[in-house]
Amino acid sequence: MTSMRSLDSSISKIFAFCRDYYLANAHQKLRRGELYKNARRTLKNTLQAMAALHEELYKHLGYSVDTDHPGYLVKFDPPKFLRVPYHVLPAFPSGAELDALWDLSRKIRSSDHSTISISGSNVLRKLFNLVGDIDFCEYLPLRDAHGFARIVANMNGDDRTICLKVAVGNQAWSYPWDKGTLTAAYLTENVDSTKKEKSTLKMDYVGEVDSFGVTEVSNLIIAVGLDGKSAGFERTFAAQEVPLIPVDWLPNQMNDPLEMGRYIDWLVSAIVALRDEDDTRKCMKRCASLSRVLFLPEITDEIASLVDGHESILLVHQLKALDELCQELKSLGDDQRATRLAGLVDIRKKTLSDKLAEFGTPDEQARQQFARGARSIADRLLAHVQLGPNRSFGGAL
Amino acid sequence: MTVTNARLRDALAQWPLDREQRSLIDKALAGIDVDRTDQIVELLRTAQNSLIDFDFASSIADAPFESTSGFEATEDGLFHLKSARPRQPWYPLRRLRQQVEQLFEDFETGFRSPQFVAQTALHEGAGPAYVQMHSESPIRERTRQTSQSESISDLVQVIERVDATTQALQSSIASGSARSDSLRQSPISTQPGPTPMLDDQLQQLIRLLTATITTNSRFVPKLGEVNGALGETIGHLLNGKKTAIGIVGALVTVLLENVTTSPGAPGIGGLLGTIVWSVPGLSQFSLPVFLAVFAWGVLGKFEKWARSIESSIRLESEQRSRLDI
Repeated sequence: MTSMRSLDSSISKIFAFCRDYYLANAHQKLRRGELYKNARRTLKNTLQAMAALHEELYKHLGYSVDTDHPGYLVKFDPPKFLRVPYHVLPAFPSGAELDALWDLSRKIRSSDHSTISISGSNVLRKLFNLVGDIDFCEYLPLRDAHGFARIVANMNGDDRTICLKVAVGNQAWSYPWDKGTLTAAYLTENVDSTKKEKSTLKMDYVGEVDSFGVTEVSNLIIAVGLDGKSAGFERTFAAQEVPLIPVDWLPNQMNDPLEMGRYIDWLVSAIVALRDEDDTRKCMKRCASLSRVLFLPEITDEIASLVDGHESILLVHQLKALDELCQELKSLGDDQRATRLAGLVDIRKKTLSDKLAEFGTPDEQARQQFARGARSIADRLLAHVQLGPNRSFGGAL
Repeated sequence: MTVTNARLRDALAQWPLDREQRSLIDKALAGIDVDRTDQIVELLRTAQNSLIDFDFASSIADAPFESTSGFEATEDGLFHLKSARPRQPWYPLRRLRQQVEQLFEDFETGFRSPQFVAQTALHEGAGPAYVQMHSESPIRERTRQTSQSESISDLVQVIERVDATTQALQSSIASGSARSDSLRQSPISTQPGPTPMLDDQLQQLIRLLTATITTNSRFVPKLGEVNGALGETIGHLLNGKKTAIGIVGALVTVLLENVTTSPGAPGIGGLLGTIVWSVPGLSQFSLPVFLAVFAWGVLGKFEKWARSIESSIRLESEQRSRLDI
């Protein structure tokens, strides 16, 4: 019988290969070579087995295997429909949090024809309380003539939500809006699914969300052309998206070695950059995502332990973020919604400050200990997807 | 714990799962039925084998060349890495096979390109979401793989068999080259002597040709314009065989040029000698004919693939209409 150690090594190799293959073939994505097919078959078999196992483990939550897309589980709880990658299921929000996220997705959605997903580290929200804002990703078909009109309408927000910023390519508009600055006609003319810099829009909100309180919310909108393609697909990753729409089409598939390699490479690059910038909190978020994908539960558990043991450091960071948000809201002047949200943020800050007082403000030694622990975890994690014996993660990637 | 549960637990022992996942296993095992357990165990085993195979293949690829112990022939006619599992065969004609596959795939890529799929589906009234959704649909992929693999495996099989026979023939011819030279100088010699090895190999080749023509007639498919160019009767008679006939025929023509037996010799060698010597310049007209048949066969295969892709698109279009996507 194969030892557990050897299967760990085999799992690492397939993912390291995916990254290697992506880096070597990113310029011409041919999906027909023997190497590619072999890796795809291995990924598919692995993802299918894990999805089947997780169906049994999380049956009580109503998930079943998605037979069309290896590695996914689906849940149909009318009117809600979810498609969740198996590796994020253990940490995926449930109950009231999930209901709140689903309601929010309907509020900010740009079209009845679009596919909106929870994305980023929100899918790991249950793992530890590191997640700050709530991120969505939306695929907007350009054939929907009303899509841009709805985007413009969404800029008005509602009683509980304010849209603070819209960015199209290199241009950005901030609240309060100048009348006629950003129109549906402008978007129709300037959004182009074939050009990377013009194929995406980003809308930043701040709002009061049930179960989450006042939080920042972002929606990355990817324009999809008439041919079903978009240059903006490169800004999304299948492994960290949970579509909330009942569609059978997914722009990226987890069992595609090129896509998996692209995601791993992005995570690796982000971890290295964040580690070197000493942004250990965000670095741990990325590490948690990578350890989940790479089947490295011991590292996932270690990250959770590190975070649990240094909650005060995260509280300080959260307080700082809330403070910045509060300042931004107050700078909007006598806007009633902003004033109300700023008041709610103040209340939240007070609660967290009281909690921090219980833990005690972290001293320099605690910060350094946390940073050392995080760096150690990052280095060990990166070793699993190292490209060769002489390759150093300290160097250029 | 039941035997079934123990099997699943054993299978899972190989997999790295976190604390929460492992804590849920006990709960899951309590409510899982035998059939489902078997399914999961099978999936885990398949995945585990795939991972180990991939690991093994990558270690072979990474290993320095001199660390391998070379190849050894086995009874199945293939070559295997010495001291390795017999799952990594090395085909003598692997390069040729890859080239043939590449040729066919390049041709087919035109039909599977996003532009082609989009144009075809949009022409039939499909929306862009549908186009994207089905550009790599399982139905078309399955149809493509089936038609391609069947055609290619037929062709590659023939090439491999012909190659093996050719090599044997070449060695026979080479061993008798001295005698061949003398016979060329005196073609009407009455002392050619029997050539049992050559006879045997030629008979094998003829059997191969006969088998190629007479087999593979399990069903009567509808012919297209290329395959039915000379009418239904001839079309059906040659359907699925033209490429092989072309290859084998061209090869036989070339080999016959090297036949040195005299017309009066006993056995099949004598018969072939009679043919060769009675039809001077045989290869001058037969070779182009067989090459033309080969080209016709290849075109016929392209036609079949095109039709299978077209039918799969139509099938999907019908499904789409029914589902009202």
